Amino acid sequence: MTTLTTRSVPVHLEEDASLQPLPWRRMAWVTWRQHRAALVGLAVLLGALAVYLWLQGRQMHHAYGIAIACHPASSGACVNAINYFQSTYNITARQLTPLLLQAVPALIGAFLGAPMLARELETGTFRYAWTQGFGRWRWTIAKLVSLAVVAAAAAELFSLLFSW
Amino acid sequence: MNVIEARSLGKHYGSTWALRECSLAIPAGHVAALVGPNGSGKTTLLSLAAGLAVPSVVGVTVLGGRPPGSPVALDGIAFVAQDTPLYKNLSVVDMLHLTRNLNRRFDQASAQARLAELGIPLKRKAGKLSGGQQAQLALTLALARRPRLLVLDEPMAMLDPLARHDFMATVMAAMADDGVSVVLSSHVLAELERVADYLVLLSRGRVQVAGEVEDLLAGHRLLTGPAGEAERYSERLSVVHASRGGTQAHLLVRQNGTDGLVPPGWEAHPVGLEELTLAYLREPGAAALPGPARGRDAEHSEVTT
Repeated sequence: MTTLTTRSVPVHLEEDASLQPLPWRRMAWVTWRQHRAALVGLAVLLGALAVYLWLQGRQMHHAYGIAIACHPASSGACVNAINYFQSTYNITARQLTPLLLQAVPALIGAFLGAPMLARELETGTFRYAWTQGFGRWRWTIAKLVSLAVVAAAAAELFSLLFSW
Repeated sequence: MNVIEARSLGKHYGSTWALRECSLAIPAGHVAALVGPNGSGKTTLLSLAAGLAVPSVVGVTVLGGRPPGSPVALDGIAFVAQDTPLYKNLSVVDMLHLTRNLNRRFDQASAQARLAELGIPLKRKAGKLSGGQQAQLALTLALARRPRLLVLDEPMAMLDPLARHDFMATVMAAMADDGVSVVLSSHVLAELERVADYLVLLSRGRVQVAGEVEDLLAGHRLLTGPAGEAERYSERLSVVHASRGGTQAHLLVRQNGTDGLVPPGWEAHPVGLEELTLAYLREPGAAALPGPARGRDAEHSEVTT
């Protein structure tokens, strides 16, 4: 029978130290490939919203322009124009905007953030991902950071769309 | 070099110990089989070695003394987890590309050749492959990393007999071609008999049997004789497991040094790995361990869970 090895085997420190970590850019493809559906969805959502807001905004500017440019301001036609502007866009500006601003980050979180780690844990694929040479911490950091940057950029774009 | 070495390793989930006072050393260059009943700690031990779990009581190293989960360990160990997790929505070729991106070495050519040989279409989604094909894909990805140690957790659970045979043929070829060490846990004893040359038997979170298969088989025999005399000889021999069939008794005994005598009227037969394993599985109190681990583990043969 073999005897249990009780001495500690010398760790090959030199070999271990010479092992360079894998470059971060390797994770770019990985992240894109795994989350491209959500990323494309996000881009489409942003695009559709941008078109909608642009059209709305043009009309809104037009109506606002009429209402402001109207002289004298107390004339019946001008009151009508102002009323028209307020009644038409009050709902859009006061209610729709906050709703969208609140819903969109939640949607980004649901479609981009949640699957990132939760799905790995749920389906057991973390046992694949975290035993590859890239390393689990670097894997997690790379994904969190890149997706956080995308989500932040998307949120920034949204606020730009609303505020112009 | 020991590919996996544990010294008084412990892991508990809540108040339940999955592994306790577990000591073993699996040398390189073997196909080591890790067997044991459900809940004996096989998956826990492999997860600890792969660095997926953190031990409660520290004491495990891999690849010659390195901590599990360290860069060199991750680089040198390919782990195929239970149920072979793959990204089901990715195609086979994407899984190849993914694994190549996540590792220093990746033998794309041999992986593709292997998949072509198995008739696994590159464009198909991993989730649409059969269970056997998924297992083969996971194994192909693991081997393409050119690991020093291949760890397989219940790789054959989902496979039919033919797929099992093919799967193990791939493992054995890799062992022969690249000298990769293999540690696999399995319930399929018949399949292990063909491939394993090192056995570790876990029972209730401890190592019950450990050693080279050749030595273990040489160290045990099956004695067959009249049932009436079984009691008398049981005291003198170290019987692992006794069974009766009609008037005949079968004693699976461990030979300690010179007491290899066969009682008059009894017959001695060599044992097979499956027979030996089953005997120990039926007798969790019995132990066959090399060197220092034996005494220490024997003291704690009662495990409180």
